[in-house]
Amino acid sequence: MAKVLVLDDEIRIRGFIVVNLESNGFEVVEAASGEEALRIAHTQPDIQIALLDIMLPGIDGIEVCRELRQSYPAMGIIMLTAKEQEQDKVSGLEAGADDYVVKPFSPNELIARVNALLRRVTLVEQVSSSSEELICDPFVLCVSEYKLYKGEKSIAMTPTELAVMEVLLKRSGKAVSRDELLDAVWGPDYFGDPKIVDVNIRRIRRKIEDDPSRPFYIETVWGHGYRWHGESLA
Amino acid sequence: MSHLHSLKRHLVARYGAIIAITVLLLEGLCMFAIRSYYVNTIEQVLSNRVQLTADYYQKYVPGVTPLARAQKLLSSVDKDEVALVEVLDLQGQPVLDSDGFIADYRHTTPEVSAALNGQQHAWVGKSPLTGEKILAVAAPLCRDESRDTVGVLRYSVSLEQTFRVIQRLYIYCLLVGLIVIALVLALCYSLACRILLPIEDLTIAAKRLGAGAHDVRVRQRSQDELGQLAATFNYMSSQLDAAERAKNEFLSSISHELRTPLTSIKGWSETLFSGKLVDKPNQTQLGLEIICEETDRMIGLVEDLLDYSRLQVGHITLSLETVEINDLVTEVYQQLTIRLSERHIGLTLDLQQQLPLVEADDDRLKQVLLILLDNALKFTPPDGLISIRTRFEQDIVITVADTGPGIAPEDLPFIKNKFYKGNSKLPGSGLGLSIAQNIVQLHKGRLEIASPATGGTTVDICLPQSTPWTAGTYNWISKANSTRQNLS
Repeated sequence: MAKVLVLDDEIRIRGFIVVNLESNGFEVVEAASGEEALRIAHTQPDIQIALLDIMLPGIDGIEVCRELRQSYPAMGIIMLTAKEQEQDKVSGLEAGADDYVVKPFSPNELIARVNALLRRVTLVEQVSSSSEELICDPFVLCVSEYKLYKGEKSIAMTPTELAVMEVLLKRSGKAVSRDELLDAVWGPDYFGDPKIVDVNIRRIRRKIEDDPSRPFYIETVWGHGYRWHGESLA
Repeated sequence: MSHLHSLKRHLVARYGAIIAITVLLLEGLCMFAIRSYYVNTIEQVLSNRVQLTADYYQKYVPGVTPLARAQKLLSSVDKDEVALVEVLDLQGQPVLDSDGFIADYRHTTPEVSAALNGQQHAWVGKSPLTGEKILAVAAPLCRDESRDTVGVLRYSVSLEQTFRVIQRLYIYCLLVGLIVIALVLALCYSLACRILLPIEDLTIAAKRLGAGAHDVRVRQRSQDELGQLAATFNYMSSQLDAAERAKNEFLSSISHELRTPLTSIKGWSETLFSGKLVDKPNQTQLGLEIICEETDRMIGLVEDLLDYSRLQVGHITLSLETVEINDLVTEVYQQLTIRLSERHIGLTLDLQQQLPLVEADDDRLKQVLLILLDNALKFTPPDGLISIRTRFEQDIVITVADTGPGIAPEDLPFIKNKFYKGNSKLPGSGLGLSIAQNIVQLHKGRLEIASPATGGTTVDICLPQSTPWTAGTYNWISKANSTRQNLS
């Protein structure tokens, strides 16, 4: 049974989220403030998915997301945002969220998103048991540790970033379209904004590129998608 | 821009015409003066000579025949004399001239006729003999004692040379005049440009502003009236910009305020609809309750908005009646005690007895009180205390004080602005105080908010008493009668 952390200061919103998650077989822990969410996360490291509201009294959802991401790179994080502005989506994703849901949302949509993210999170876990390594000089993608090594230096990756890297590396040298990435990483039934791909790519570039403004390893294929710079893997 | 160009043309044409007329008039005067000066000077000189010579003739010239006398007279004339000097007989026929000729014709010009009548006279005109312009001065010649006119002495000089000089002066004058007119026209043009350029700037900027551009700025070219206009325009533009920003902030704040209850309603209703709670009556009950409450919250928000917009447009009129403030406050107090008991917040009521009556709208005043109390409730922690007091000083004052965290000094000046919520993330439209302020102002009263650094917020509603005389029944110095009720 997967464990989900729900953070929202409005008990009325939290209420129906909890009801729906529980009826879908999730174990749920609730938090009414950012501070409480961080405290719970530290005592229960087996939380797999966190649903974070952004507008909170005290420390806000973005900050909670950033701290959770730092401590738990493998955790799946979905932001619940009451604002539709581009900036709010982007700042959530930049802080390390894997996905976002705009209020007001349908409980079914939320459950679908949670399930899709959970697949990604558990995929990483399954792969980790096989201790697979993808090597593409100078990078070694070590799925078991949710880590990417650039030479000796290790780079922490989120499950989503890891999945994106995996797709790109496996098809090294070939262009991968945004839709293919969306299908492979977010699942075929994802119905959010395709921009989420670009935000993740930007985040990855910031982590791996020498000069993120002039990317070398991940090339942009205009109007199509992205390509990993390098030879095909043997 | 055509109207601007026509304005430019108007300016140049009108001022140009005025200046041209003035200059030409002055030129005319000047020319007339020059001509008069030259001609008069020559006339003066000739007149003097004629006078002198005639006197001389009268006193000293001997001789018997008129010719001999004329010869004698003319021999006395200066050899360098430029004028033609003639001695005429009584018929106006020259007896002899200074060149030594005797011409065979008669002078009939006015100066000769005048001289024959005993008057010295000067004449300017075209000589009938030569066709030249001449100046002629004639004087009668008399014998010493008799004073009878025996002949005429005529000095004449050609003015052709003089008129050439005068003409040249005329041309200079005209040239200077034209240059002046040209300079003035150029100045007019540059002045027109100076005036019209900022106007063109303003026109373009106003068009852009009208087309929906933000933060349009005009270059302030000078410190004069047009510069001030540009500065005023910039101020207006910035105010519009601020209004636009406030509107956007309002929209995003309202959409957030609507989204939160909508999320609950949508979430719970879909959950109930999906049948997940069929066998859980408690949760079904909870869900329905939440849906009802959230709907109420949205209704409240919409009412706030409507109230606010009505107040803004000025559509709210007060139905004034004589109100006993203490009764009104007590009523609100009783309404609230029920809500408060759930939240462990104390509410105290402290009324000063025998307050003067107030002309007020009962319902609107209650609304103000409820807004203030609602704010106090929102910010007062459990086990806090809210107090309502009435007192009479210059005005009738209703005070709502709480023991909440207070208002940050940097927020205080803006707290009554619409949609201003400070850093608060609590639900609310940010309209409450703005509405309260509007209503109190409609009552010609004041809303005063204080928040000392020690915490807590005090809001005073100050209302003027209905008429000065009603206070007479009340001895306001005595405060011994104030009652205190505490029902926390």
